[in-house]
Amino acid sequence: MSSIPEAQRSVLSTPHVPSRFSRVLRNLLGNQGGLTGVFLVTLVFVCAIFAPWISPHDPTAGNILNRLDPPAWMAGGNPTFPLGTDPVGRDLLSRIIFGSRISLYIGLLSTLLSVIIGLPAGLLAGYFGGLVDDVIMRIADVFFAFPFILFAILVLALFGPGVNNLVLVLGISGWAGLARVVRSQVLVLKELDYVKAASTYGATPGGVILRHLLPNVWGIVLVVSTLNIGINILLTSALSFLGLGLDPIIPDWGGMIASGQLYMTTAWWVDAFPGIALMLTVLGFNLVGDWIRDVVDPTMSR
Amino acid sequence: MIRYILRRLFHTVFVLFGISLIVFVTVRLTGNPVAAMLQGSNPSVQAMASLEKALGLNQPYIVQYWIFIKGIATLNFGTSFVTGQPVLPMIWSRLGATALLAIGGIVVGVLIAIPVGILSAIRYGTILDVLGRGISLLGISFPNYWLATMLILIFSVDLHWFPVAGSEGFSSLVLPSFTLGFILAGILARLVRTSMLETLGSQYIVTARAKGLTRWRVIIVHALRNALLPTITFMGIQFGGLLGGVVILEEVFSWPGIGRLVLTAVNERDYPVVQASVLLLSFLYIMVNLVVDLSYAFLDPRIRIGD
Repeated sequence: MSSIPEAQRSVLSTPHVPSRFSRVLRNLLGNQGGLTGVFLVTLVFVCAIFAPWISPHDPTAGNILNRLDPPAWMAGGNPTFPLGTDPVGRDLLSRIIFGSRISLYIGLLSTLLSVIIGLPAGLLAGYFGGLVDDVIMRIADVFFAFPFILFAILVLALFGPGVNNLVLVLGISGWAGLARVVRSQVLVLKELDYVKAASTYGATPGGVILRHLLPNVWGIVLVVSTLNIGINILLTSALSFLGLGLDPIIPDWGGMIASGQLYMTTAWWVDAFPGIALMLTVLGFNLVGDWIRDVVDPTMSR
Repeated sequence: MIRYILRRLFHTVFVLFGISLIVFVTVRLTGNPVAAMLQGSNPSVQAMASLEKALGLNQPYIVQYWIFIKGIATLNFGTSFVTGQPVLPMIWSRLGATALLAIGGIVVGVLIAIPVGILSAIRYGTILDVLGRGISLLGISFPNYWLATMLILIFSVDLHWFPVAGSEGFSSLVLPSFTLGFILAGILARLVRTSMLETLGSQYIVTARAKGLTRWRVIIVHALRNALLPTITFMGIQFGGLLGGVVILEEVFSWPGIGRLVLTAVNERDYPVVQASVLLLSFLYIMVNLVVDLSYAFLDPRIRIGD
């Protein structure tokens, strides 16, 4: 840890500060993890948007004669089904491509919901302390201590499976964690001299929160939310794997993995490929998150 | 300190009250246990009414809730609608199995995460860092049930090293613990690394080095101690996720833990079992987090806890 951080050094040595866009771009080009992440996430978005045009087959139509065909390159494989078929003869590749839609939709929306609730809650609780902190954090504690998976099982048993119910369950469960992380960051920031000084010189609470605290928690919020998108995509698939959550007609990765469990020993591909798709998607979001952190906070970085 | 702990325990009562209310209401909204029990037998109205009476479901909700709350105070959670056995011993025996899995996962997780995180941070930018980050990224990107399935496929079905499922001694603990631990390690190693990097860049570390302290003393005593603060918070937060992971893995490994008990109980509308399990797990979780918060004050004296 010998040197001045890269970004600071370049600011010190160059006469002009490069534009934000070129800085972001240069950072990305020099960051292999970030590039990989952007590539993976773009790939998932492309799959989700263009699913009907790029998938070779109808994801919901199967022919029982083709059931459990192995991948094309294996003995007995059929070249029309590159990754093989599932227990009712549907094309795995097409189902995996369509499965990206549900994952992205739920992952993004539920995380957004968590941030909308959790960020203000954490800032207020951390800054004001006292009664405000008590009330917000006790409510958070209730959501937090309620074991998520049991909460999800109960709520989904109550409202029935469904995409929007999943967004709600995941979003509502996620905010408390975010609020807690933001709050603990604010507790540390609050003790810093310049924040104390700002209050002493008459800055209003709103001013301190917006000008001094918010910019300093963005980094951690972004890191946590990126993790959250990945986690929520994973949880969605897990709930679907448990048979909760989604309509079996909709192709989704967790449900596909569940349907392969019975055939695990004879048809490994039914389980393996959706799992790999899921893993790469989550990996993509995590890598992008790391890269965003580099851009947002170069001192923390890499 | 004592006052702080007392206040937190008071909070706990409030939180548990909130949870008891949520679980009481939602479980009743999911459906009638009597209908679920007599499914298919096309029961008469009298039969249903008498069964409802026997289960105490004919009473007003407020009375039912009062009985539930009174039961908590006296540690009597009632009897299962389905088996007729007292709920507490039922849960108790399952909780042990779940705890065993969770502890196995935590042990594996911490053993991987702390060294990987530290090495990544101090060898920042080297091949070791890339490797360490790779491990932790894979950890957080793997779906746990899928990883479990793949491990079973390789180590149980193909190599016959470990049992496919069940709970027969140490060997059946290996695969689930590793699955849980690997995923936990992904999250933890990442955090240890990030906070280590942050701390290592700060002024007081430079000062400590300049003072002539050895590299490792600075890393372990000065940096790690501060870097552990966010890590430990997150570990407390992760305890809930860990429980969730355990529930899912119990399903994959047919492990007789509390997760499978609750899943079945929700399906059978076995209210007392659902209520008691949720409440006990929440209580456990709250206690873990109380300990986490107390360790805050110990690790970072800037955060004063007593007042």
